[in-house]
Amino acid sequence: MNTAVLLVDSVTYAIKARKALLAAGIRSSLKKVNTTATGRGCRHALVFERRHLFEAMAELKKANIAFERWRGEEYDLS
Amino acid sequence: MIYLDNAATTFPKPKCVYKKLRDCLSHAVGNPGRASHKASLLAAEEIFDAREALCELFSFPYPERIVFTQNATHALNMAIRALNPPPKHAIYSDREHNSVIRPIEALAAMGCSHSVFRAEGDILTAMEGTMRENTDLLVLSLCSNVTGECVSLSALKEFRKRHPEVRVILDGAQWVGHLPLTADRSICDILCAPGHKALFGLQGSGFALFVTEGNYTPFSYGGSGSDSLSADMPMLLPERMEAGTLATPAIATLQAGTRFILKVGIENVQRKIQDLSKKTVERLDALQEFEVLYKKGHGIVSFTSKKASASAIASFLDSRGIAVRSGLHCAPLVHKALTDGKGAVRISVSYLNRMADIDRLYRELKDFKRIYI
Repeated sequence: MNTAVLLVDSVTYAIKARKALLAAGIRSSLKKVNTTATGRGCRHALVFERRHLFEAMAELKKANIAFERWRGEEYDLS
Repeated sequence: MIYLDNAATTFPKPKCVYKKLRDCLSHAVGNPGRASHKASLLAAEEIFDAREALCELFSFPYPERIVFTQNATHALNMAIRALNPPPKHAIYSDREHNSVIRPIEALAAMGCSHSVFRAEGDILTAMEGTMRENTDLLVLSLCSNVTGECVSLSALKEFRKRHPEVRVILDGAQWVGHLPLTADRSICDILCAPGHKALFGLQGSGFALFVTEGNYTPFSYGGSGSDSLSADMPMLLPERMEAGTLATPAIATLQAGTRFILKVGIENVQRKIQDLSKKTVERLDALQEFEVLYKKGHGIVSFTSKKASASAIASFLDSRGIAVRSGLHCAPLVHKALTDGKGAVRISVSYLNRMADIDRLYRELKDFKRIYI
């Protein structure tokens, strides 16, 4: 499945973000990812279908949750 | 056993709390925020649910600003040390618990002086009368753990309006779960409370609710599950203040207990606690032997006897299957003011006590009076 990943700063924000996405009808899963290459070490990621990417980013902005696009890995959501 | 020492910790807990504990120990067994596997995520979700339940209780919109601690003392220590810049002059009342007195005394080593005001009569005047030019911190218990006397929220709000430069930390140990409270800037910057008292969580649960955003100084340092390459704690709450593994089972029970209170309705809890307190005072007065320290206390009624020590009374009640607490209740200043340091017997009720418990207390105290006085 074609997925997109957004990084957030902690598991607390990841769960908050996941709830915000779910309220907008976007199902996602949570992963902990190693983003050492970006200089941040471990962070939390929301993984969802790529077709929802722009809507998801808008939802997180609306919820005032800081995020970053992550292109490091692909995930199977099936 | 009839348990009337609920100001120390509540017993029993509602059934949903025991169920939550069993469920949590069976499923949410991972370390929250540390991994991607289901057990870790379930634990993280339990903790987030607890943040949301507390938000609902306090009409507070930011679950991420609730920092879990081991207890209220831990939360108060954290809150007092978190302030940035550190306080120069702190004020607190003579009704405070050692969980406030000792951390503030310890601030002296960092150059922070303090003054104590008498919490009698007009508290606003008392607070302002103790202030100095450099006063920048007020730490205040919302409800005395010895007398059950509650602070006037309107006086507190007026203080906040008049002195916005003074940061306010509230000790909600005997208020939270028994009385309604909206956590906002009109009353405080940080609200601290235990999870194991009126919110019916297990011991090992407590929290500091950071009403005001700020660059807080961490109280302890360690793993946070995120931003691992940084030598500092993460900048954002709650992880900035939550170093190390959280007590997931205790926090999950705090969530269940809080949901129980929400389901019952905080106003209904308040009413029942008022009724139980009033009945306790009436029964004690009827015995015409004991002196009640404060007759309008919420959930707490303490008393002394001129002819018997507090510990003798508590020990007798224990032998009759009633748990109460005697002594100074970790609040030395209020006892100096009210009992000359001799201590008192404290009856403290929870929502799960029954009127029959107070009747039984009355009968046993009557017996005590007959035998020993």
